[in-house]
Amino acid sequence: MKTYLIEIKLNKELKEVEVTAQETLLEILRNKLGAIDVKDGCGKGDCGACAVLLDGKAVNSCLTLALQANGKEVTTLRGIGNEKNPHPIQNSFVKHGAVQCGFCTAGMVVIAKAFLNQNQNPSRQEIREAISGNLCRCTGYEKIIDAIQNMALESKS
Amino acid sequence: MSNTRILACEFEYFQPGSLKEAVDLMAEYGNRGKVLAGGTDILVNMKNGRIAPEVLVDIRQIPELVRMNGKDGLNIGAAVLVRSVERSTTVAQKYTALAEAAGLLGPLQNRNMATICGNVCTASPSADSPPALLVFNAEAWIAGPSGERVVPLDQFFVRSKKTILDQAEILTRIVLPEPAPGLGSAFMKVARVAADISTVNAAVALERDNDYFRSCRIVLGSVATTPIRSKPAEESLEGQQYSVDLIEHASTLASMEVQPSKRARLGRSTPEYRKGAIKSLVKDAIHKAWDRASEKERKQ
Repeated sequence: MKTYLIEIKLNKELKEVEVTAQETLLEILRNKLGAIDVKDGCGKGDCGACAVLLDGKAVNSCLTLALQANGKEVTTLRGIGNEKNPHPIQNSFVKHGAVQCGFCTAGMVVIAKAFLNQNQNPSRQEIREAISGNLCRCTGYEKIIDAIQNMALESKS
Repeated sequence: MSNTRILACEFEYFQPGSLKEAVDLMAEYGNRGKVLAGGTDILVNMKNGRIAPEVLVDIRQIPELVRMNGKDGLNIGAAVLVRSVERSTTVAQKYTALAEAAGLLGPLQNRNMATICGNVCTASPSADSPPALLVFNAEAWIAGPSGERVVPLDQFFVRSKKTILDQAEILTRIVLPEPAPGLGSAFMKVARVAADISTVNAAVALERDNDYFRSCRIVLGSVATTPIRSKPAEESLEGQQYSVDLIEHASTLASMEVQPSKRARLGRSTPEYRKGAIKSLVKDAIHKAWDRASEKERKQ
């Protein structure tokens, strides 16, 4: 099968990786670049667990071909914050009990980051709409909305 | 059984840098090729095994197709993202219904990937952008091996998931004429939550003469196999003086357009429910568009 050498900037680190046309960005992130913080949920753009930032814009990596990411900047959860240096959104998720099983959390934090970049003073309804492409089967969403809203409030004060 | 983890079918991927190259590729591969824009429909269909193209022609790098131009009408290139249309101030001011439809088309990340022209080409009866484009008399610009042709968008849809596009043709852009000054419009939908597929949707655009309807366009989605205009409802308003009863009557006429469909009974809702939903949706959308038309009148 024909392979292509592509270059992506994964969480600020330049990576070269060999891919086929069939591979999605999600597959190469998890299987070839070790970015297992990106979760593989439904595979068809319904659940949002695989959300990443592609050149700063939130997309579902399961419906993005690896080749499309060539020459672009990819930011995953770990690029937003990690154990040693968590992002305020992540701290807020912990503080508000917005994490239960944790499978949706990576996608939720990525979407929250993209959303808060564009809207620093969101209403609960706006937050609901922003995370409407991210399914959570544990929390009932309320605590996730609390976390995002309080993060927005605290960063203002 | 399908496995949405992987793209099982083998295909070749092209990323042409010009429209001519893309047209040549599609001419060469015909029904074995597919145009790829946002990928939110095509890649899902490929993963589900519904389609298995041998060639994907990615049009996102073609400069003339990623442009949107709001001077003298609105020109939406085939690779223009739903999110860009939603956030454009020109669209919000002049084509309010379209901005609203774009904003409700799906979740944030899908709107960041999907394109308006892709939404049109998929031709789902429940798609959100077609009704909002149709109330502004949109035109579809199509490029193919034998040259370019322009078709009114209301002749573009054949039936569910089927358009007039020939195998080798590409929808290059959708063009909306400059709206009449004072035109007011609105788009509304009923769905489980906003980002879901519409149970029904409706777009309205109208012009006023003080308290009278000068003209009105009403287009409904998810009531038949294609989006449809409700001419009886439009005609019942035109030339008439504004009244709550008049609008009530027009929305009843619009609800008669709902076609019973076997699939609808099994799927998202019954025709009876859709009738009721269309009635209140159209009523609200007419009121909204009426108020907006008046705001615009006052500003002039």
